[in-house]
Amino acid sequence: MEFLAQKIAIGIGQALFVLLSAPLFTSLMKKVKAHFQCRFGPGLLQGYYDIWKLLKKDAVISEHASWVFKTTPYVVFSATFIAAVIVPSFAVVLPTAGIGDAIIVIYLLGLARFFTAIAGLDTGSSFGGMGSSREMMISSLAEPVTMTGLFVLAAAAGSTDFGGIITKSLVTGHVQPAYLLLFPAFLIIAVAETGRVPVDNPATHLELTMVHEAMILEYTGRHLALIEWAGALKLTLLLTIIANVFFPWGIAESMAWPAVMVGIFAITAKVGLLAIGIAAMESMIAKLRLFRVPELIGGAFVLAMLALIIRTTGIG
Amino acid sequence: MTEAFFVVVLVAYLIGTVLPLVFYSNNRINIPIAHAFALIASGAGIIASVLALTGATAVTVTIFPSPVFGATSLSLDGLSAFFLLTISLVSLAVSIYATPYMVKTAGKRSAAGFGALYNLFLLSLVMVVTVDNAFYFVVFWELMTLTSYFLVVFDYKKIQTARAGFQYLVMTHVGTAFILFSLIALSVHAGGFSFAGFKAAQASLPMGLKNAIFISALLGFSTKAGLVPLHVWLPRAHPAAPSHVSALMSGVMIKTGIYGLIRVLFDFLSPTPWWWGLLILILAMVSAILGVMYALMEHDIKRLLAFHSVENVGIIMMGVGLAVIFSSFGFVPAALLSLTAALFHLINHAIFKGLLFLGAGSIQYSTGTKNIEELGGLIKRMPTTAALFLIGSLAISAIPPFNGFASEWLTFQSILQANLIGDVSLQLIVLLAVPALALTGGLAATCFVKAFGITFLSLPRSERAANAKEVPVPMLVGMAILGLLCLALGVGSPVFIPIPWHVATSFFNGASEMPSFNPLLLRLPNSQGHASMSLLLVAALLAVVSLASVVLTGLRGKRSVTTGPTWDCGIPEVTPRMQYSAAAFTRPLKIVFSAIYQPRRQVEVESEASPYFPLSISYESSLYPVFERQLYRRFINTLVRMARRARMIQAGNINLYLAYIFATLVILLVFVWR
Repeated sequence: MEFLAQKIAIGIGQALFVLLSAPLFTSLMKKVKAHFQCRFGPGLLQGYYDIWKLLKKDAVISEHASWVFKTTPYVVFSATFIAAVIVPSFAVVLPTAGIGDAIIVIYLLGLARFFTAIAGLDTGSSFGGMGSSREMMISSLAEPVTMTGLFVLAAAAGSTDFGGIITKSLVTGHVQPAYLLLFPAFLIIAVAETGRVPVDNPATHLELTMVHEAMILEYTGRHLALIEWAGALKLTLLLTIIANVFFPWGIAESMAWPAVMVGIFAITAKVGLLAIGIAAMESMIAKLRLFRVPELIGGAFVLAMLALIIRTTGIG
Repeated sequence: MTEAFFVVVLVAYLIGTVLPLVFYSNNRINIPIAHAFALIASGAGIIASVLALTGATAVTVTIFPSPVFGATSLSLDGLSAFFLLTISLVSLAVSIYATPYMVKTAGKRSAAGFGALYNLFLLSLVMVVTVDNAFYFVVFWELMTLTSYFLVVFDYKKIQTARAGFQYLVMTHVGTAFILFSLIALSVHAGGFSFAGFKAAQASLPMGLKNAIFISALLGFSTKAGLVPLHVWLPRAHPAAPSHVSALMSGVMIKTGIYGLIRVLFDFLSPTPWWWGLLILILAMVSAILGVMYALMEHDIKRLLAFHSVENVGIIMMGVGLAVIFSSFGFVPAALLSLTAALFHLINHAIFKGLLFLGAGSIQYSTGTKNIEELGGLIKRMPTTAALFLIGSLAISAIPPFNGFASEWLTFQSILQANLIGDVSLQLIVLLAVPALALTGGLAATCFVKAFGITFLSLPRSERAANAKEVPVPMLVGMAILGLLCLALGVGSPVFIPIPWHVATSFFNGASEMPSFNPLLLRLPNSQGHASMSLLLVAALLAVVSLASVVLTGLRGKRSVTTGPTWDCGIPEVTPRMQYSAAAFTRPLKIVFSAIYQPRRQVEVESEASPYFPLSISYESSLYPVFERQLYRRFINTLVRMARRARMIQAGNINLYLAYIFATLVILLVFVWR
């Protein structure tokens, strides 16, 4: 009984942890980028202030919009949140992991994306359509890379559950060639899926370069707050996957409190470091032209396929 | 019990075939009658198939015995009952939908013949999947092909329809020829037409003959199923038919090809060599990817859906191919899993594709057009249709918690079993199915964002779309049944999956550990670990979290939600012409995949003095599928050339023909004399 209570506590704890830590990481990235631009930049709590401010504001909705536009923020937020809850962050075996495996996480993000894209088309603005069209192009090219990468991991672990995948990387311990190839592939996918430089620029509102921002251009008030929060959650979730699969150090293997505390500290540090890395990379490279993006993703695909071949042939 | 319901199915369809003809001149009577009997038959079909699937023994109904070809008996074993269930579920919804739709479509023409053919078509479908005699299988197969041909050419005065019908007729008959060859070869070997005889004689089949039978069965059945490169008739014929018939053809009829292939592969030709499975798998991957790619470029909603059928048949066939590969190496649980995935996706596709075609029919019903570039804003004019079409779109894009995701998830799990295969190069090719399936899923989602977004959202792009009205209640009910099934088979997948699993077990010897399907979770025993997934939990959590976020974000004081104009960069007013069109939406992917599409476009700019102030711009873009150009054009050209040569002996002179007859006679006499 006590065990069950602890399980539930950890499940809820994980949900609250990802929910509440997500805005921190996006603020951290903004801070790092500001540093590269020789600015002070906003504080680390700015992400929370922004969401709080948006929640307080009135909302304006386009007169052409339908219920799709109004429901989308809630669908996007809940789908992303559930996906984030499934991914183990500070403990390997999470009670929430029973909801689903790696495949469902990817497809829940697909649900969020589908709704964002149709909401982009809903207002009749050409920006929305442009954003939807581009986002769907990028994501449909990214999906084979993600799935191939996950299958390399799943084939090694014999399971598509994240628990199994992370346990496998904990057990193997040493650096493996397949993982070395997968790491950059996953990083590219994370950058593409969260709409960051060089694929997209989250800071831009220049018409012709927008992708993700163009889709959500019409959102205001609490709707925008939810979408922004979901965006932060998605970034955190993808970075958590990368952190725990490639650097599983520190993750709690039991449900004892000390291990869990170490786990929480470890995951915050790992995701934080990855966020800083991506922000630094963003500051140093330029955004790619839209039709160069397939080449980047194609490169990631080649890496994932190489990992698959290495894994299958047993070279590594 | 089961027999009784099954007889009701047959009798109701027969009455439904005859009775509408009695009221030939009155559409008000013959249309409801035709669909009422089809409805009774479908209802009975659902009950009969569920009883047969849950019961222990196979059920057989004998219709009439023939001294030469054996008794015609229709039997409901596991596979037949599963297909009967698929047919009946879709035809139930379609028959409810069809009455108001046909009243409008037929207009002043009599719909009696159409109603009769509709019932006969459904009857032939049922008989094809239940008959256990090769001779009658071919008879019913032909009946199915011919009745569906006449249903397709209902609108025969349109030149495209007539041509599509002709192409359909030619293609399927070439396919039938191959099927005929494989069944005759089997019956010669077995010394009889009965399927039981085929089954008994399979062990003694010589390998060469077995391969020949497989190849011709694959060619024949995949023509019907619409596998690339034999699918060319499908995107033409399906859209030409009235929409509810398209729903049946795309949802159900093409599945008879898969039925035939599964029957021949696992019942008559086992054990199968692994390369058969590999061949099927490769064709399936190509089908899935090319199907969705051409669907993406299609702006005629029904042609778009037809191309998606090619894609989904590819996904189903992936499961079939994997099952063949695994079973040839003796990995029974993996083979079972793959065949289960295939069967599950098959029924799921029937349901969501049925729903989407009915949705397309509703769009056509209220706007009179199938071209999505002329639509827009329908969500405000046809809210229920829009919601149901959205469910279908989510299901076909494999988005949780709907049924399409559940079966694609199982397919992914089957591919993961490739770990078991010892041969590394084979394992690698099998694993290529992962990116293939993922790319298919991603592109399908893109395609349905386009199809739903351009059709239903934003501003109407034409008068027709602006004046659209919601369709009559029976049409909505028909769609709602399928929409509910999309959700039910998704969240209820652990309850449903044991059914195709049991059907699949009948093909493999040796009991195998059953994955635990408790109503909450779906757990699979993998080679080393397990995978779990619960769409019920996901659906429940989605509902709870979204409700909670609605409530929690609503808590903070009083804030208004005002409506305002869409941001237009300061231009006075947003007009429908500023919106993204379907062509614009898919243009990035057209550029990315231009090597496959090889698009041609023509832009003509007319300007007077300065090129910056054009008077008129005309833009024309066309896609002509590469394989059609490379494969079919060449074949047809050769055929025509040969026919021209053959014309030389047909001079039209009666003396010459008499000479031919005389020569033939002499040759025959010499031949016999000897």
